[in-house]
Amino acid sequence: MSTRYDAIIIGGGHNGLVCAAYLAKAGRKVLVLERRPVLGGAAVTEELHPGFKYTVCSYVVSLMRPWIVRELELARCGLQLIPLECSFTPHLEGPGLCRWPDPQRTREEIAGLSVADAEQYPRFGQAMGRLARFVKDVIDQPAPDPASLWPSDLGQLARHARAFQQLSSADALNQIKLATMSAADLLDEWFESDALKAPMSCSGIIGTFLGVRSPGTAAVLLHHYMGEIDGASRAWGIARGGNGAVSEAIATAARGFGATIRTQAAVARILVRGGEAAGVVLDSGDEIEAKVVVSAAEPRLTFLRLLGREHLDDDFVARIKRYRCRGSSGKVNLALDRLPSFTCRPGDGLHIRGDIAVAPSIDYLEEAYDEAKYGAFSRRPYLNVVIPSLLDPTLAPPGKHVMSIFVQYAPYALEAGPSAWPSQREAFGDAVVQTLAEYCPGLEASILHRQVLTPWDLEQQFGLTEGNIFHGELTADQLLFQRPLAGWARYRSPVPGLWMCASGTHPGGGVMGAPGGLAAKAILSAAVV
Amino acid sequence: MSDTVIVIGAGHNGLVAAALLARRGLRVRVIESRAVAGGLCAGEAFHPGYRHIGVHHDASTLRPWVARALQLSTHGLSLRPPPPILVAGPGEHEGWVLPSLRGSSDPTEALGSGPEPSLGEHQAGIHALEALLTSVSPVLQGFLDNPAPSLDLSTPSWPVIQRALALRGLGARQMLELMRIAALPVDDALAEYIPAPRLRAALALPALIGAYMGPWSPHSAGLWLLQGAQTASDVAGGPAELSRILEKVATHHGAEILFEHEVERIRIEDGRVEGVVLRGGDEIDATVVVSSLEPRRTLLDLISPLDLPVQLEDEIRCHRVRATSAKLHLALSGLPRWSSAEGVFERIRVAGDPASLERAFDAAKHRRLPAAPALDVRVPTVSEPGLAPPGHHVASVHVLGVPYEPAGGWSPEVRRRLSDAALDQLEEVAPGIGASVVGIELLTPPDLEARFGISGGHLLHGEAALDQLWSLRPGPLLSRHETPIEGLFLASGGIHPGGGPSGASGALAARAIQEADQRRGRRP
Ligand SMILES: Cc1cc2nc3c(=O)[nH]c(=O)nc-3n(C[C@H](O)[C@H](O)[C@H](O)COP(=O)(O)OP(=O)(O)OC[C@H]3O[C@@H](n4cnc5c(N)ncnc54)[C@H](O)[C@@H]3O)c2cc1C
Ligand SMILES: Cc1cc2nc3c(=O)[nH]c(=O)nc-3n(C[C@H](O)[C@H](O)[C@H](O)COP(=O)(O)OP(=O)(O)OC[C@H]3O[C@@H](n4cnc5c(N)ncnc54)[C@H](O)[C@@H]3O)c2cc1C
Repeated sequence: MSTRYDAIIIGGGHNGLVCAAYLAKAGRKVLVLERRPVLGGAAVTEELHPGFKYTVCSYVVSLMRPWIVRELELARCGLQLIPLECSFTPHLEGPGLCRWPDPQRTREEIAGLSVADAEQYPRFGQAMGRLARFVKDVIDQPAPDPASLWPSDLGQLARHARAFQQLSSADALNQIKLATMSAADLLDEWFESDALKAPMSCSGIIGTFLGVRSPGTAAVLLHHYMGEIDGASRAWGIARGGNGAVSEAIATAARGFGATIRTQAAVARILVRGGEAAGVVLDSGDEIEAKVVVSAAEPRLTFLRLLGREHLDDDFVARIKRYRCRGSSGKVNLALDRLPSFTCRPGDGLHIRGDIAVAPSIDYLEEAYDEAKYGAFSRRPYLNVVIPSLLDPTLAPPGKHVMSIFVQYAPYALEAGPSAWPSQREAFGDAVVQTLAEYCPGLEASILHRQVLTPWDLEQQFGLTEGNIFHGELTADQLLFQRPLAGWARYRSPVPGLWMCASGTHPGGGVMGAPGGLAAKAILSAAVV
Repeated sequence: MSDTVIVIGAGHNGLVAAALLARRGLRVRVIESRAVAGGLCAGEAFHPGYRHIGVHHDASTLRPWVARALQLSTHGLSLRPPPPILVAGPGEHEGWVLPSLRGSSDPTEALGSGPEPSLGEHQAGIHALEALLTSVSPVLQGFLDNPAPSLDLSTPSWPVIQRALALRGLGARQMLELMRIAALPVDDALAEYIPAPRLRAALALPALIGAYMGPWSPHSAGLWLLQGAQTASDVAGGPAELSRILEKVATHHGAEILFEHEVERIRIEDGRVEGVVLRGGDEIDATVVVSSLEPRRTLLDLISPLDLPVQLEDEIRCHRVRATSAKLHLALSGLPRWSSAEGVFERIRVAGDPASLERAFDAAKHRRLPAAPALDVRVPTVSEPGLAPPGHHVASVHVLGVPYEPAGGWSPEVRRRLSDAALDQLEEVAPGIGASVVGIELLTPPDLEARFGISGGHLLHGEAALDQLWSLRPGPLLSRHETPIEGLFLASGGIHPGGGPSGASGALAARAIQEADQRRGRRP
């Protein structure tokens, strides 16, 4: 019996699921095919040690678009976000720095480093907040197309231009600076304390193979101020049940609308008939037909492996081959026998119920980057640590904890080549644990289980090309109308019937669902299904 | 007398502004603290019997429209194609000879001579890069050759629309390509054309002089394109000759140059310029003061804090001036012999590969000395033997990867280590050159700062970066050459359009003064 679907989605990451949910909600017959045994892609929870649930890859949520949460009724489907209580930067000497949701408390903390910076901090937040509103408008609609002469595209450009014009001159200037400067240089304009600037600059480098002094990294600082949880701006949180729970909630919504979701169903190839995408062939050899095929996998994988260059013109192939995906991040997940205690602020407390950044100085971060540029992992890396079991006890047995450690830099291309990673994996894991243990001695002894994910592992296990966590670097040359390529930033591909819907499309990576949602809307309004 | 204009500094921009203003009949007095005109472009003796052609040793950035406006060719300016560049390597077959990639040439330039480019299998790649530059240069030159627009967004700005239309005029494809490439690291952009890493490093090198970037920094490709667009014909005699001609033209039009006079303060009353005070106490009254000094120095050192509006102070304090190079002048007893190519070369690049170029930047960033500095070398005596005794030569070297001050400071020992590191690099590609050195002058960033009054010792009066260009060089209040202080104008390379010896900032400042006069109905 052959069933013909309206749409097949390749990949059950959160974006693929969002796209599926929207298409199903509009009455289309939808099939999601996920290669792994679990759904979620890089937003996934897995119990890898009995009783301990790891939020394996992504670990914090904030950019999840509120319109998607609303329209797909994700709260009803089980999505529950818990805000982080603090941003803590431990130091080897002194008390370290905590930034709290309470501005007054944050101000007192920062005043310990610099009184002038304590005054500046809320002003900076307000300025970024105003710009974030401008940018949100851009990420919640398809990318503007400066090359198009269609009235609707010109209209969209004009709307963005008008919104830009309505910014005050100072805000407009900051917007330009954000788009062009390095995170460190931009923060230098506002603050004097290195110990404050260092953790603030980190959000500029997440997922990029760039340092805090690299031009262009200031742009990502804004991301930081775009977060929303329960309508409260600027808060970051975790999902109850780990980030897999985000994917599960979306899957529940999609199934509720009638979508079929299969796991352990790896797509080997996209079927092309008469120059049009007609379905997929699974690893098992099964063929499944559909009117449209939507890839939620990374673009280079989609076009060069699943589709095949014989269906593309040479120019497109050359361009997609140089789409930049250099992985720079790794992840270490720990099952802990007991709570770690930080020397600079010992014991349990609100300070560890948020994210903990090992980012003692700008130079530290830049040295970590410099080491990685030449093909070695940073021996003293930047770490972003969350202990989600403190906020969500369901993740670990009573009294025990899981710790999620995001690590930079781990270059995909080691000097000896990426396939040398398996032989360096444990050394990398050791460097991460030792770095953190400098701040909380005794950490090693409390580890019950450790999972180390290198960029190589991210590629092998999650289909993230070169281990890039965002399906392609978030740099100006591949954002907006250039994501993934100029001319193909509206979810279509050169092959009729083949669409894209994940982080490699506008507005890019992160657990936000926007690419999936916007792609579904584009497919529906093109009335191809 | 109300028509007196004071120009502070007789660098190339100061001289261009002075010449253009004097030609309009204004009474122009140029005040220069040193005994020679030209500033960073002045040719000077650095060792008895040996002269260099300027701390800047390349005048091919002179904007053709500036040369035309001042009719420099009738005053002796001679243009020629930029000499080819030897990409020097340690071994016999490890060199290439590059043509100068440039956005435009002047039809009046004299024919060049010298070695033919030899690019081997990279011929096609270089041609494709040339074609890219040729197609985007007119658009980029539109940015460089016109005043920077105001960032006041309340009214639609014609210049912004004009630039946008020019960009659109490239056609959709080329426009998008330009936007993509400009954001890339220069090494990534070049890699799309040139597979050989060492050739890429050599191509990238000049765009990194004056940038706080390595070849792997995003946006460095944008700087590379801008520099290509700005590169036109070479000036025979280099910056030194350009300075001499500009001095002659300025005085020809009636400008008076006071050498060895230093402005100590710009007098300002009620937000309006009244004149300047010289070291020693003399005062000169003027309603218009044009400063061609590096803008931090003008605003923070020459203006009393009480007279400086706080917005201007904020803006200029954000102007970044971190130097990443030093300058080395070598007196040589003979012509260097390059192991990678036969023949006589005037321009040589010793850049290693992109990773070593990046490591040089790392050194500057972390305040270390570079183990293997990258070198941009000019041997001006190849075309002008008179700069050195017969048979002897001069090498003028930009040394990349040098911090303003290494951790621990610049002791004589540390200076020595830097010149040794540079000489070691040269020895690798020109064995025997070390033994021929008879004199050395090393100018570290603090040396340059002290001698030329440039903050941070930054040769471009401010870093080249996408956020320090156009209306943001140095910021929206100052990038239009006219300042909020009535009668004060800025004409430095730290102001739009920046860059090396281009004369453009001086020419745009002169234009801004004329426009201000017209607005006030002072002059037709
Ligand atoms: C270690 C790490 C930490 C991160 N941390 C955060 C964070 O804290 N916050 C945040 O917002 N973002 C974070 N991110 C980024 C974020 O997780 C991703 O951008 C996002 O989850 C990507 O979602 P997606 O749906 O676009 O793609 P993916 O999640 O990559 O989904 C693609 C899916 O396609 C499947 N697939 C691939 N090939 C095939 C095939 N041939 N057949 C069938 N299925 C296939 C894959 O298995 C995968 O499930 C992190 C990412 C990583 C890797
Ligand atoms: C793939 C990936 C993507 C990520 N993306 C981001 C991201 O885009 N943004 C992000 O923050 N983290 C992100 N993270 C996590 C991030 O690295 C850390 O959470 C982040 O560095 C910690 O933020 P901060 O210390 O700079 O906090 P800040 O945002 O500076 O704030 C610290 C705390 O103070 C509160 N606060 C700040 N300013 C004010 C104010 N004016 N008034 C009241 N309260 C205030 C905040 O809500 C927060 O609780 C990401 C992680 C991954 C793996």
